[in-house]
Amino acid sequence: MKQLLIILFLSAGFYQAGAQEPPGRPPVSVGYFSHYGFQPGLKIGTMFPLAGDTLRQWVFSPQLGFFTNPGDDTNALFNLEVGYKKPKRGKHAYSQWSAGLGYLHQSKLQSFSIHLGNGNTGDRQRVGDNFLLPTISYEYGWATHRKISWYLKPALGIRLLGRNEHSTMLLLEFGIRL
Amino acid sequence: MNRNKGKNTRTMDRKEFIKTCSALGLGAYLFPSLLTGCSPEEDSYPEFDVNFSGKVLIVGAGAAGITAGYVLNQYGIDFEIIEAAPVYGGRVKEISGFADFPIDLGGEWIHTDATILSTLINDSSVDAKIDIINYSPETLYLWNNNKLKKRNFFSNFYGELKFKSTTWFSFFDNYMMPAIGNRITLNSPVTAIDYSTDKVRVTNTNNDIFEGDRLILTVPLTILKQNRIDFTPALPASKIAALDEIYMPDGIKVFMEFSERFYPDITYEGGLADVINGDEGEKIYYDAAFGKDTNRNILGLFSVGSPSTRYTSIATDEELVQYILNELDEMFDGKASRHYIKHVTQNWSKEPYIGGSYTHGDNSSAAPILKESLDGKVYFAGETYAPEDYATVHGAAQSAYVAVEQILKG
Repeated sequence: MKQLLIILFLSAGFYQAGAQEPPGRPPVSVGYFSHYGFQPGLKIGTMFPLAGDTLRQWVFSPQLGFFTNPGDDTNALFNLEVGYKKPKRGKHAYSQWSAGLGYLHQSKLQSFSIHLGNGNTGDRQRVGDNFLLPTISYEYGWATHRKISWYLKPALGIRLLGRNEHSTMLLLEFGIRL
Repeated sequence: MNRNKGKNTRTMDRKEFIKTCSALGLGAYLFPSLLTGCSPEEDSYPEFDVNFSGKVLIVGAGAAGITAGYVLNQYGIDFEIIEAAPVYGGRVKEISGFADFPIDLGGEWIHTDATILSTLINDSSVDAKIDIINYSPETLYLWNNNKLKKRNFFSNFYGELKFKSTTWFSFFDNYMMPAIGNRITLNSPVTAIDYSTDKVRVTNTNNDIFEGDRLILTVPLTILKQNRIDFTPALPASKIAALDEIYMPDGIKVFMEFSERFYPDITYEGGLADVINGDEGEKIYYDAAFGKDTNRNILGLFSVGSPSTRYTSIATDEELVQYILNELDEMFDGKASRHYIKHVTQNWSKEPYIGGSYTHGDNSSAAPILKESLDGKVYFAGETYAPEDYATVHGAAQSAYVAVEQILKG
């Protein structure tokens, strides 16, 4: 977790330099991304306006995410969202409702071996599975600089079309948009 | 021994799932990684100080008794194991031949990090591997108010470990028993323990007398609670009072083979609140072939405590399986009867030298008293006396290490 936060803030510093570029460049978001908040991961994304003015707009957002349940599964997500963004309590805060459709790949640990003499684990057998992941999400963001905003974004999704029955997912994201 | 261990982290196991949620409320569902991350494990046991050279009697050849003998053998201490039943293993027991993989009729799940297996063997010269299943169910249903409800969402918080092609029984049988098998006397139910002199004398139902300098008593809790062993001197009042604080309720396991799979990975009985407040017991139907190399459809019923009594009290095996099939038919639209092939039952409540499942109740105040030795001569080991994870197989084995360490300390 500590490493993840360091990466997050280093990334923020990196993109802050980029944020000084001329207007028109799409914003980049980098965030802590997790299943239930405690299966940690990272997500990056960008956002393109579809319609509306600078305050209220329809946006399109492609994203790449990763999260893991340590010792059990690792997950990669490609997600596309369409959302409606509007100001909230003044121009420094905003909210955004979005609907998304993602492709989720999961690699899950099936079995492993334990060596009785030294306790080492090995022979890890993993199995992959692929899902469609429609989501709805609510994002609350606030700007701390004219080109920097922070956001918190819970999302509810359903894993579909995997080997097993569908399953609800609760995803949580917290990050910076530059 | 300083060994480099590769840890396998995991989500909550069934016991943690229930115990933790019970202690912390629903919020705990959100913190499985943090909670399991706190699970303490010993990498290996240190070399014990040895100030003892006599003979140790061990009463009971279950997980604790076998482990106690195994450790004493490692230290070259003379010992003898006295077992009431015609077979060793106690509540670790397997059946082979029912399916194309051995089935644990007793303790089945590994309720901790898999490195515990190496820790218990505690011998770096052992060159063998055991395959472990990451038991992480995907489909979880609740059977509540005669309705089957899909709650796959909660399966994400549940995970533990199981043996893949072996069992808890074969773990003890393959890696501990070869060194100690000739030291066990079977069919020898103990009726009396006399620790009034320097020696400890044990009498069995045949009036055979065994004599040693120390004794490790590993009989199930029910045997002590039912006063089936006469102690001389009598057990202290504090110990008897502590025994009254905990109990060992009914327990049963049934495995059924079906020609088709119609069930999820796990089906809990009751609502979510019942699952969380599982202090009175639990009942699950589970895919016993999960993660195994098999195409057979084996469904297990595991039930302990009050939910199990309805099964353990049924008189005959035929009536029991019909009762279960009726229940499953109700859940799964008659598919159980249509696809039923065969079954095997293990009613732990009716095992004459077991008499139930495993320790229940809040033993936080009872455990320290129960773990005390009798005059430094009679020591206790078993799942009831586990140093941390009571009511588990590995906890029983760990308690044997504690008892042996105390004896060797002198």
